[in-house]
Amino acid sequence: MVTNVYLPRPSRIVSVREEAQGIKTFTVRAPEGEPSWPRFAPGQFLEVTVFGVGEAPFSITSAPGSPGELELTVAAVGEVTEELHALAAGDVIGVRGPYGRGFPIGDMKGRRLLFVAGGIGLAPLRSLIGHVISERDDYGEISIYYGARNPSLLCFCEDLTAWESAPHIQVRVTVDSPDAAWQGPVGTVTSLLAKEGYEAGGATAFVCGPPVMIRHTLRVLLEMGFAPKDVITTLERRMECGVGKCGHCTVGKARVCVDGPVFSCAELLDLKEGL
Amino acid sequence: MKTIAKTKLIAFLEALSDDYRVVVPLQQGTEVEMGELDGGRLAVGYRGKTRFSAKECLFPESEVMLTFDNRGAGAVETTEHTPAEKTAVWGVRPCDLAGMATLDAVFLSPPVDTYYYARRANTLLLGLNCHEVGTSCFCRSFAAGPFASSGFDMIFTDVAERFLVESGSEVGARLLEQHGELFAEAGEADRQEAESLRLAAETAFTTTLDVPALLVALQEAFDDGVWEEQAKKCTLCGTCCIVCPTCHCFNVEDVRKTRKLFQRVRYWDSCQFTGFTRMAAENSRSTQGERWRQKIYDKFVYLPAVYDGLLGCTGCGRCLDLCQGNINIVQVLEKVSHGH
Ligand SMILES: Cc1cc2nc3c(=O)[nH]c(=O)nc-3n(C[C@H](O)[C@H](O)[C@H](O)COP(=O)(O)OP(=O)(O)OC[C@H]3O[C@@H](n4cnc5c(N)ncnc54)[C@H](O)[C@@H]3O)c2cc1C
Ligand code: SF4
Ligand code: SF4
Ligand code: FES
Repeated sequence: MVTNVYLPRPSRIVSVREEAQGIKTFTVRAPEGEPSWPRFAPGQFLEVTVFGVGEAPFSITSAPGSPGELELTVAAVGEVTEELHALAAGDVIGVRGPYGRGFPIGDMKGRRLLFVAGGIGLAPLRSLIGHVISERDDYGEISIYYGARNPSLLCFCEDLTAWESAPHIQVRVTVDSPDAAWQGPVGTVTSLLAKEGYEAGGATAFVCGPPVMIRHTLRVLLEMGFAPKDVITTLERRMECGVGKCGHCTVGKARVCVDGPVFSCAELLDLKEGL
Repeated sequence: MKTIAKTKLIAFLEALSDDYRVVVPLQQGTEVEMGELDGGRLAVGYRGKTRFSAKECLFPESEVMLTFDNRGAGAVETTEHTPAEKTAVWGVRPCDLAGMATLDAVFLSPPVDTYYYARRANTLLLGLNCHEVGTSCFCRSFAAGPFASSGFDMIFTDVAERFLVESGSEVGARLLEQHGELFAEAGEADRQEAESLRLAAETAFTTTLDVPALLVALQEAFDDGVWEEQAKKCTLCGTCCIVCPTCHCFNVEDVRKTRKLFQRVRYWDSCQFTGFTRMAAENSRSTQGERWRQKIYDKFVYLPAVYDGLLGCTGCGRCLDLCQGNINIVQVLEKVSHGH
């Protein structure tokens, strides 16, 4: 008997919080009958079923391990995500996964780490940052550059404040369009990074955000002297199966759902279609 | 090796229908299509190939995967629709048998696709060698035909009033034995006749593709203007993928049946459709040139890279016959290999 990889396991939503405008974070309990989530790595994702609507992939945004609960942060952009936003604590969703190849944690030890994120793109990096902070002594200094279109779209504000107060972590937050109360930098996160500069030697950079932001930031990082293998990003592609069968998520010969979603810039240059 | 008189084929297929749903080539006007056994329309001695490939037997155009019954208060009961029906397919051409090797690689590599696995295990493949090559056929360029060498439970060769029959699996051998009264022992003359038919068929191809040259040329052809140029003729109809024995992309959708019942259905999709890669933020293949190139690269570069050299084309020629934009894939690829 072959187990059915397409079968969603029922999981209960424990709580829901407004993360930013149009963005909510869901805390989800391990699937019914399982004491904890299967072990996952930062960068991996779940296929989530909203029963009666459909299925969509979301990055796990909470720190890794095999906890009893994990978090997903979701922007309402279409059918599944809007109906997911309509759910509340106690409601049941279906989950498959964790799927995909996460961040190369083993290669990061001892290095300085630069995180560059736009909007909800901070979600997968948050899991990685959480992991790195839990083993803080294994890594060099950490810089986090984060931007959103306006202050109401900034996610994980509490985390940003907490990270800033941790030792040897620099956090820079910027918005494209400030409101009256905004006191921080103005402009895109990529231009802020380019302006302030960053010493590429001995560092690994992690980039996630909208596709245009990723392309722009990778270019800036390469110009700063990063080797393509030291620039890591996570790609978003349309997914239907999550397990390498349906053909939707391909980037060259890679299937983002199984070979990614995390790729180095060197890998993407090799795949040709990735950038 | 055995023989069976053409007049007795129907008796054999009807005997199989005690245990199997039997799918055969049927005459439909001027076309031949695969369909359920219907004695009157069975295309016993059909020439060329069926209009659509036989992949549907293993990977149907649409199938219900799961049913969700929403019981309220967070209770959802899920039913799996794992196919259990036994099917025997007679008359499968070598190009389609070769296509099934590609489907196997995709769907049976871990994690195994439950639905395909169940159908595969329950399907008897009775192949039919080609002794008349169609003008668009180029299976010989892939060594996929005109005679099949593997991938079947039984293989039939059309020799005048008889079929020469060989088994290719234990199940096939058992069936030959079980229905022994319908088959006769093949003689040396039958064997020689089949062999000369094979040799004649092998030299009858008018369409050929220089596959080794193509594989080399594609290494440098990613940015070639040929893709955008060809794509101008493409009508985005997706026919090339629908008729292809190796194309396996699918879409998944939840369909409401009643207020409480929902079915998760998957159905064939095509990388030639604009929506295939559409996401909220952008479309990762936004021009038809990119989509056309994807089809070619997936078949000749990406699939072999992932699945041990296996190509995603068997030379069946269907996409040449049926392209709504009149694009001849072989001519395009020869141009890529041997200069413009
Ligand atoms: C690995 C991975 C990780 C991800 N992680 C996250 C995450 O952590 N958080 C998050 O919020 N998102 C994440 N996403 C994105 C998320 O999966 C999508 O936003 C989600 O699938 C959208 O589903 P939907 O049903 O709500 O939208 P859909 O209804 O499918 O629509 C998506 C968008 O496409 C448009 N669209 C769809 N179909 C058509 C059509 N036929 N014609 C015209 N326009 C159309 C819609 O208008 C909408 O803007 C991730 C994606 C991947 C691949
Ligand atoms: S690509 Fe065309 S010729 Fe090749 S197997 Fe598919 S339909 Fe047949
Ligand atoms: S069959 Fe021809 S016209 Fe239709 S999608 Fe394929 S290449 Fe384009
Ligand atoms: S989502 Fe189906 S192959 Fe990746």
